[in-house]
Amino acid sequence: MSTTYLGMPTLPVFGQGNLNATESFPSAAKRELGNAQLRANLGHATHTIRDKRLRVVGELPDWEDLRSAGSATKEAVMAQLPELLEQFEKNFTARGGIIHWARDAAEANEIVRGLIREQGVDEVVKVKSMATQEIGLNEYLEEQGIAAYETDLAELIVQLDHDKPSHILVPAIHKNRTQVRDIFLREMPGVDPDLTDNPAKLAEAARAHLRRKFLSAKVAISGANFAIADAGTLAVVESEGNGRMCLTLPETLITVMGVEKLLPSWQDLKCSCSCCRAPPPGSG
Amino acid sequence: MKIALFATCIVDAMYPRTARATVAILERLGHEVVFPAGQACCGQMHVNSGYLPEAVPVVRNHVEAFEPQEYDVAVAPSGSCVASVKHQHAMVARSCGDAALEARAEAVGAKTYELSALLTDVLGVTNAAEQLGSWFPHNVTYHPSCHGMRLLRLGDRQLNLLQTVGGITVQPLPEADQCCGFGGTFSMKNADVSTAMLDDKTANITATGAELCSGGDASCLLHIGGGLSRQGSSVTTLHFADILASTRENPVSVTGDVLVGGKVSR
Repeated sequence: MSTTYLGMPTLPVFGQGNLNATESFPSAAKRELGNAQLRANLGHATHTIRDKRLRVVGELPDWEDLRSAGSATKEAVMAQLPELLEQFEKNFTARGGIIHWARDAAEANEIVRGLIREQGVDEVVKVKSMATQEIGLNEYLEEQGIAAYETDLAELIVQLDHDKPSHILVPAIHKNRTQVRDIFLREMPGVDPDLTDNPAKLAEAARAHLRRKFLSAKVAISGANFAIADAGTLAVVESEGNGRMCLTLPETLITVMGVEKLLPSWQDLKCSCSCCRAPPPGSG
Repeated sequence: MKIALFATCIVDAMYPRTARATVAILERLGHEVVFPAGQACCGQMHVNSGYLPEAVPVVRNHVEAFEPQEYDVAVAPSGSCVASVKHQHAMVARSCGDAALEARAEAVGAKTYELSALLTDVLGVTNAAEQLGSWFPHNVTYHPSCHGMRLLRLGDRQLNLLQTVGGITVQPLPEADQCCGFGGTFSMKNADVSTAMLDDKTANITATGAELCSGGDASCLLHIGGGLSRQGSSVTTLHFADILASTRENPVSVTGDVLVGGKVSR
């Protein structure tokens, strides 16, 4: 139980912005519970990742202590956020980075658009990011004539299907591999028409598709899992290698980060990364 | 030891037998049980729904019911109500700016135990058959409720006690750590999701082949039992306190949907 009371939540307005869905959870749930395929997909997938998570947690003798330490660090960061932000800005700038401050989604989207335009391109690759999901960056860029390609496998599936991520860590958990194959056959340019639903073949098709994007992209956009104030650096945790490709191959990296992602030091990152080994669904 | 019983709303209204069973267990161990008469709801429905100012009078009532009573520890046969007393009461008072009530709620919370925690950590019960005379010759499975597991960190205390009951067979429950779908007001606000989660839980319970499912929270057992009964299942639910209270001389009888307790032995 958290010790911090943040007050009553305000009533959501459905269909506005990206934080709330287009309809209320109970009404969507009532309809979707009748979708036997969806329930089977979710039942199978959650069963698998919960077992994986339990296995990883079992390997960590101090799991509860790590969680408590991570939580205490986050609370401490909130208590000294202004100072840490300024420290981060100073150190990040000294290392050659450039910080832009945005007060809201509209400002953030506009800054990102300007930075992409400065590079004279109309295509970018993206590392999976909830912050950009929250500000509706992809939709905004599309309106501005800029194509943003998701490179995380699950985000790619969701994007190709013109769908929305269903979970912050496992965005395509609602799709099974046959549905993924059908999406690839329908939406992926140049895909092998004989593609099967074998997971290795599906991953290979995605890899071939993404490799072309990685090699041609001049600009990448990422989120950040952590920003280290005393080191003036950023950290992205990923497992597919697409993050590393985006962060190293393109000439310009734009990171969209919420101010709450700060950590004071490398030492705090060590603890938080240990927690990342077994996030809620054990997918990290 | 003088032990104050916190019966909780659902046990009081729906399963008074479980409160009597709790008293019987403690008296068998030679302790005196007292009942603070002014007790009512712990207020977790208010708190969990975000109504903190509205919960303050409920918290104050609980504190004022237990404070004047002379007792060593308080006990409730519920994980979620104890979690409310221990984890929410002081927080509610603090967030509403009542420092005096916060301190008093902290003191009451510190002396309050969930039944298996009291039996295991304070009263040293490691073998229910030997120390309590518990006898229950039935094939059971066990669901660990969320608040006991996640807020109170009860671990296997309830299960360990059940496994030492004479004559019992305990079947492991697949995906035991998953919520049964009750979740207090959640079961009303999101009835469809609640029922879907319950379907998964009852399927796992049925797959064990057990005659009944035990647990430590009457609310979850009510939810699970309701689901099983609507499926026409012969499997029913029973609080672990009732199983611990059951003896050779006065067994708790399991008959169809309704569990009829014999005269509780003390």
